[in-house]
Amino acid sequence: MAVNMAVSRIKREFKEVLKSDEIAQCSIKLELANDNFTELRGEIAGPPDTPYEKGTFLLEIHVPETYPFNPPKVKFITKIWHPNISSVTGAICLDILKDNWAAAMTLRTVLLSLQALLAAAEPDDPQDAVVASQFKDNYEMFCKTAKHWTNVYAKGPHKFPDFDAKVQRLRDMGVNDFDARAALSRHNWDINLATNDIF
Amino acid sequence: MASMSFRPSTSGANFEKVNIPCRFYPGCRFGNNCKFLHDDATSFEATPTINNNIAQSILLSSSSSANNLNPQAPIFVPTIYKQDFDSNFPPKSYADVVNANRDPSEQVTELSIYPADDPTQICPFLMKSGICRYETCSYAHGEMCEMCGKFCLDPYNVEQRKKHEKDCISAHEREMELAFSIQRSKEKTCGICFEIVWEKEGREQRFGILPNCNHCFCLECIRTWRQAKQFDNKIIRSCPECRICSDFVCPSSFWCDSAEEKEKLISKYKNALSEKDCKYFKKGQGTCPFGNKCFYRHCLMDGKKVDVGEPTRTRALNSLGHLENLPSLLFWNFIEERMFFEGYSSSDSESGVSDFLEIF
Repeated sequence: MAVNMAVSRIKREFKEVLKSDEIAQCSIKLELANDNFTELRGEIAGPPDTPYEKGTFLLEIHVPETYPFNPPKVKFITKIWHPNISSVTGAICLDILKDNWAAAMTLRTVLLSLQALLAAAEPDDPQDAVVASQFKDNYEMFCKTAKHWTNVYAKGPHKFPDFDAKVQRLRDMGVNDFDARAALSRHNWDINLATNDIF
Repeated sequence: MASMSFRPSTSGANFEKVNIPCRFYPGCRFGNNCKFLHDDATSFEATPTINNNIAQSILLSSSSSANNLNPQAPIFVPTIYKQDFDSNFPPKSYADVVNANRDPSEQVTELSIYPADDPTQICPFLMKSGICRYETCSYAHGEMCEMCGKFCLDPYNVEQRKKHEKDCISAHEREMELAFSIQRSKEKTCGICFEIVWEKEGREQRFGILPNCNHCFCLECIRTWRQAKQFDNKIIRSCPECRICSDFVCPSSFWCDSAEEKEKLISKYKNALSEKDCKYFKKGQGTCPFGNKCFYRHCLMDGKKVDVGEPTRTRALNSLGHLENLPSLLFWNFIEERMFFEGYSSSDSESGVSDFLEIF
């Protein structure tokens, strides 16, 4: 029964999302990743007036057999710099995806909640402690870093040539692109601290 | 057309009149153009006047060959019946024709002997069809009730009329209520499985009404949600849509959202539960941990109801200094689990156990 309910509900939700206004405004997207409605791909647009603006973020959605009595398992595929999302794994810290789930929630409301999370971070309940402390201690640096990540990983428009140059210097030392960027971001783009961190 | 050649010219009187009286006069359709004599004195009295259509059909049939009959030909109606036919009276039956020569008084006496066992009883013919053809029928002939359309209002009994009207109105109200309930319920979808509740299978076609909010779920879904062990009590006790907490779920075949109806439904539900013996109290053999908060009946062997007082666990836990609101939570857990268990594991032969689930 449970499997049937999960699948039949996802089918209905899928139709609902396709008809929704958000699809028309290109702010969320949902597509199947396999044929049996258990793996899906979500896509959300970065909300305006945030460092994520004009970025496109991909999500991996796994629907458990017990859905909708248990929440779907969602994580970011696109790398993102956000206090409540792991910069390394993309794991999300959001109450509704954990112990505050409700059976009436849908994939659409989950995607919209994630969009809202991008617009309103909760640094006091962090997933990524480093990002959260940067958010609280050096908000300007946080915004620049988040914009830079959005540009590099989510097709965002804001380029930061000095950041790119620093990443390139670390890459020249044999560090891979992501590790270099992550280390620099963690150390407020201080190349010496980042270098020390890596080596 | 064969008839055209037969028809006299209509161009005027440039034809010879024959000195023979017209058979069709005064009903002749050729009027002044007829070459036969149209004269009152010489008109053919013995011939019945046939209407023009018939005349035409005769002309047609006489002019065409026998195997070329006209299916559109009008019905032949003899003049003596023509009046009846024209004024839309149903054609006379064979019996009418046969009885036409009988004495009308004889007919009346025959009808008037329809016997009535009880002259106050309302005429069965009138009740059935609204028409009693027996002029001197000895049954009472009631007036028509506008609500039900039956001829059952006793013209001489005011009490009966009032009572009937009252019954009729309340029956009508019940019907309306039911119709509204059906209208309200039939399109409702469950907020958990997203299916139309009435389109689910058999026992699943029931609503689980939450007392404190108006969100719609099917009974099975909301119960499964409230049984979820992976979440806090606070989460699963609250509505999955609005998070307003409700202590229990009331099963119902129909959807209801008005406060008044809901209250009625819930008190009916509680009454139904209160008529069932508590499984913990066991007619005095056991103790119910929920005391007088229990929805079920605490009755002794002799049928005497007893107040078992406050829930026992409150005291026990208080003495140990534990959480005070735990017992009430446990009680609702119990109620829910018990309803869940009974609703889904009892066989249909054990109807007494699950009947409270069927109440509306």
